[in-house]
Amino acid sequence: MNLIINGKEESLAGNGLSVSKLLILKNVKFPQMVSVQLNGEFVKQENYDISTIKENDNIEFLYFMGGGR
Amino acid sequence: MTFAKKSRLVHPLVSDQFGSAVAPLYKAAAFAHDAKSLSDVFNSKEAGFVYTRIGNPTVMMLENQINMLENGIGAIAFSSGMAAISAVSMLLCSSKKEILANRSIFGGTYSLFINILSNYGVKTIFFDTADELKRNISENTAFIFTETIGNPSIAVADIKELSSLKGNLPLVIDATVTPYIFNGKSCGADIIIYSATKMLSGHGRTIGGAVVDCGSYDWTNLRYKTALRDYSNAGYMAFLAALRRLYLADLGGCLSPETADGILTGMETLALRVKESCKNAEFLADFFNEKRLNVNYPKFSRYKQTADKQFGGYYGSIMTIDLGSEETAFKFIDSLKLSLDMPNLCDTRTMAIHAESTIGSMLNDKQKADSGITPGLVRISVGIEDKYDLRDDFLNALNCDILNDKL
Repeated sequence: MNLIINGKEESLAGNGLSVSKLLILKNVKFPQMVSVQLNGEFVKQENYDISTIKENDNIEFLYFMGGGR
Repeated sequence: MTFAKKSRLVHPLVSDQFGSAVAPLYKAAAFAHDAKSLSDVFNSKEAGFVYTRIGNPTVMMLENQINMLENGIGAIAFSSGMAAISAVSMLLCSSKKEILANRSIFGGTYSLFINILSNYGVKTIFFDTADELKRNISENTAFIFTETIGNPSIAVADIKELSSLKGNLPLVIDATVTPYIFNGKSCGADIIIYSATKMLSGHGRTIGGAVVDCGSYDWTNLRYKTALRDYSNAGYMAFLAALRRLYLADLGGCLSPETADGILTGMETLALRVKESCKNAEFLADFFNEKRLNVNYPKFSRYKQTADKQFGGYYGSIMTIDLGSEETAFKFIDSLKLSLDMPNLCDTRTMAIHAESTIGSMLNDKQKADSGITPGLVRISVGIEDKYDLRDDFLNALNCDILNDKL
């Protein structure tokens, strides 16, 4: 399945991935530290399990873990 | 399969290559990456840790546990409860904004609002009743603040009622003394603040705090657009993003990993300690009531109905007794053999403290009256000792000569 994640094209195995599964694949161990946008719409945490990702979807992860200036 | 909070408190979500059942202690101040990865983490494009002032794996495991306890969308740990309240207040307020706060809040928070935030043009308006709250909500109000049980007023806030009156304002509550027996989110709180020093740790070996976002407030509300700055584009996570990346990172009130480990240790037994402390407190309050002492405890106060509604059959582990004068209160406290005279709350150990000369000493007469502080007031925080030992300890202190004369 081809996706655009944070502006980069990525190819992942499997179809019908949920946002929860995608977070696991992306090694995000603490989902409360990231906001997820699927095709421009924010996905709330309670909907991670039921939100399904399709071919060519555009996903934006915004992390609030590290950083600093 | 989902597990109860009591089970999840004992089995935190741990990520460890060696199979540790407890959170590994990452003492590192900073974390190394390759150049591209470090740049991505800095710029919020990848998950990872960079610098412990902003985030640390051990601290995050604690944040995860506190968030689990409140069914929130995320938690951030701070170096103390006051650091947590300070950061939240500074995020939500700017010059000419107003805080609407319950009149009987803790002296340290009172001082933050009145002595510090006022220097930045923030005004605090205090309320007692629902009518007072409604009357004072204005376009300048930044947030509504209350404690679940006031200290030392022992006033129980009706969180559902406050939530029904808040309009489009966030309801920020301090639930320091009521973890596990109370769920703020289900009662309509938006932000929950803890001093983790108290019941969450319980063992009296740590100072810490935390903020939980319940996920119920719409931060895309334009009211906070300036305060949230670049993070206003983070949707429902905007508050947590700005709190971590600006008000934790730049004010610097971060929790050390060692302290996070200490709080996590305490939280494993939270479910047992909270209930045992509350049961012991109720036993002691019954005893004081039988002795016809002037005891202030929700079971015997006008707040009983609210406590019954919110705390699952418990009345908390703190109370006050009024012994009439400072002299009598001092004599009483010094006659205790088991209970300690210490300025902490919700510890495994029972503590009794003279309120006016200690926790209320920075308040003027009106402020003392608002907090229910009188010259003879003794605040008691009940621990998990044998309840009959506690009763005998207080009975012995009550039987000392000076009390026989005056009570």
